[in-house]
Amino acid sequence: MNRTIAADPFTIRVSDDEIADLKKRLASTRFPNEPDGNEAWDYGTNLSYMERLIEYWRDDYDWRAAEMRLNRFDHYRTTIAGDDLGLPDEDHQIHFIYERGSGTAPRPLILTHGWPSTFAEFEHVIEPLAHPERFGGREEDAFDVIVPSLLGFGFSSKPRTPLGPAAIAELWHTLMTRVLGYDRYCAQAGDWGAYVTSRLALQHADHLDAIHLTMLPLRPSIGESATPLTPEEAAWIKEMRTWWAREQGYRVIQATKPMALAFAVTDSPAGLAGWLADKYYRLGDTDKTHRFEGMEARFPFETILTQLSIYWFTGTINAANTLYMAGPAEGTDKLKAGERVEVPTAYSEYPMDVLPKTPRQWGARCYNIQRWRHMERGGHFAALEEPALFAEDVRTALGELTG
Amino acid sequence: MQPPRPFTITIADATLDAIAQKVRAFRWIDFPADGGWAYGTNQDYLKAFCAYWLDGYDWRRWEAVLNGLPQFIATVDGHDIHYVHAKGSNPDNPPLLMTHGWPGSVFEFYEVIDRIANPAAYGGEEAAGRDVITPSIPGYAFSGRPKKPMGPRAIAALWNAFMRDVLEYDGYIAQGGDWGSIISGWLAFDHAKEKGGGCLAVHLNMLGLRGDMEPKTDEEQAWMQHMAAMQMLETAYLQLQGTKPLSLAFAMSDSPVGQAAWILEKFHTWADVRDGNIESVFSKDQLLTNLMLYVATGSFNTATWIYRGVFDEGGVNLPPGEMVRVPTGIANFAGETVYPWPPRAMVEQGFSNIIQWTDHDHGGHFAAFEQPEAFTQDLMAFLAKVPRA
Repeated sequence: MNRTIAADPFTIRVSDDEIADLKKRLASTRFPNEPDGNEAWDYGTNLSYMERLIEYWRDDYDWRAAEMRLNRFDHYRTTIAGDDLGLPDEDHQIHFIYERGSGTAPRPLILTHGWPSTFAEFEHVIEPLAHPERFGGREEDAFDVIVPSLLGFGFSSKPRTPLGPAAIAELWHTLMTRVLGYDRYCAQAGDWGAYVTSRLALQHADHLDAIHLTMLPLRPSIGESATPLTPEEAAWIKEMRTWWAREQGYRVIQATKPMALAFAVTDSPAGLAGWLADKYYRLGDTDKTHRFEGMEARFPFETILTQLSIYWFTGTINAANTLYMAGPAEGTDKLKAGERVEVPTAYSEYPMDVLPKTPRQWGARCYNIQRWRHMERGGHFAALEEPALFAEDVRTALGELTG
Repeated sequence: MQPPRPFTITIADATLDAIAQKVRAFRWIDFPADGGWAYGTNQDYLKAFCAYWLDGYDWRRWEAVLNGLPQFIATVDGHDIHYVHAKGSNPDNPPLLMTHGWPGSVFEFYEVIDRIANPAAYGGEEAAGRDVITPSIPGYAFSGRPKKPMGPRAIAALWNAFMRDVLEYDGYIAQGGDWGSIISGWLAFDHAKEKGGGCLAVHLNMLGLRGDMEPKTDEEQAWMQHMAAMQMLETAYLQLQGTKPLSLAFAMSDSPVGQAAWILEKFHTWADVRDGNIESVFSKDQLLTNLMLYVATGSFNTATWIYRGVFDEGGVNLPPGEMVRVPTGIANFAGETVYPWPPRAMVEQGFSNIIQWTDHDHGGHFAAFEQPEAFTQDLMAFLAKVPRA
């Protein structure tokens, strides 16, 4: 039985009361003191940056303008029943932008964001991908662009039972096929979106023409039958582990005790900002030689505050954080021996903090890598940071892989 | 060094009002997946807790209880140290220096201080009494705010200077659990009498400093496995506070309810809670009074810095081949399930002179707070065994 309900048009509309409440909370922010030596955010989010950000959010940031800008796209919400897909019996509302591409045969492309991001990460790449002819490209390269909010994020619903990427991939496939009527499509993502997209490629390989990733989340089964790690891979893994030991506090909390954190970041907009800003600073391609200049140049207040405001108004930070619990519970990143993504895969690696370049042979253990690029600029939030470069790379890569 | 100044706790009405206003304005959003306390703090409990905070709890009453303890602030090496200094019935006995941990406070000791200082009032011997000193760790409650994270080894050096140069005691006995155990361990190692310091003996209710932890028996192997499992499930707070305390600080400093959730989760997980009911151990009044020493003093953030301090200081291992040699008492409370004591032989790799080891069926991580009588008895028995200098 097809219980899928047709998608309803959706307009973002936050009430005046909610905006007033936010401003009131921002005005009564109690800031922590900061240890000496936090210029490069070594102890976490920098105080001077936060004071500037919160003041701007309170006095200058115009949510209505952002709302209007985001509403220029066609938004929808659709209900997908979990039990139709072998998931817990719960109806999920999936919010998505649907920008139909130019020309006669645009190809469908679903872009999936991660944490701590939102669908708005893709604001500046939707039009270049849907209408390349308006940006100096060719109309025949156009995509129908679908940008959903991850389950538990933004204007999608918050699941009663947290779902991981393998389950969300089933919702995405339903969205693309049953709701939107496509049989074959492409998918692009980084961060948690890359988990969902990788799972989509594993679970529905017959329907995916190609995928483009900016992060490679799957982990190979390194057993006796596997090719031994090369020295380059072993060195890379060692550096990654060292880096993660210093950086992983947030994800360990979110994976083990999300409800110890949830109350503070739900109650305090400054607290929400403090928790998330550090990730933009660390993972973005920010100049880290000053407390706030590099951060503000890379992520203008307007940009980061739109992201934060979406988390705030939708009250989704806890639901979003629990993805860190649901993902591991699902064993989402672990491939079985012999298992691999066979869908043609393009990987574009943007510089991230001090991390070394991923060895291609590592990527090839889990993916059918057809195209491998190291980008010169842009970081973990590439579509936000370098939208033109990002759109051009995605368009070229998917053109090559499906040509 | 400045001479100690008497200190009385007086939280301004405006501070209390501002806290109440934020608690009242808390943005309750129904969180799904009620896992009890499995994923952190239980939402239903937190709601009831906040309702009591606003309508039942009387800070002034508890402020008076705290002010029943004689308190002072002294400046040691540029750090303002807040402490309780209770005079004991027998000044010939060396004083006891008790150090709290996180997320505790000197309030953990409020029911044991006088029992130890003046045992005659509790059916004990007047001759067994002694002075009791319980300081607030730098960055906590009414102590000063360090300019950068301080580790427990640096705090131990501060404590030794405080006891010897400010309070002018020649020798002292150190006691602690949690950070108090690690600080007391460094007192017993770096500042032992035989090394020119003042520490005569140490009594611990949690494993802090340690020597060689290579497991040699099945029992020791099982303990290691338990600790590895705990590392996965129960150390996220430590990993976060030990690396990026400021990423957490903005949320906590701005949200009293957020602080309550973060701290209550630890009391629930670490105390000897029965039937999942935190109030089988602590009353809301007790939990709130300890919490208010963070919220009302704005010290949540600086209190977490010690985790970064120990990280930067290099951890809790004794130098290879070296041991604490002062007389040592170990109080093993069975409810200490996240950080349980290993088998005695492993502890002895770091402490060569254990003169008392006691197992208790009841009580957990906050032993003095949870089981004041049993804790006091254990400690008094130990103190009686410490050889006179």
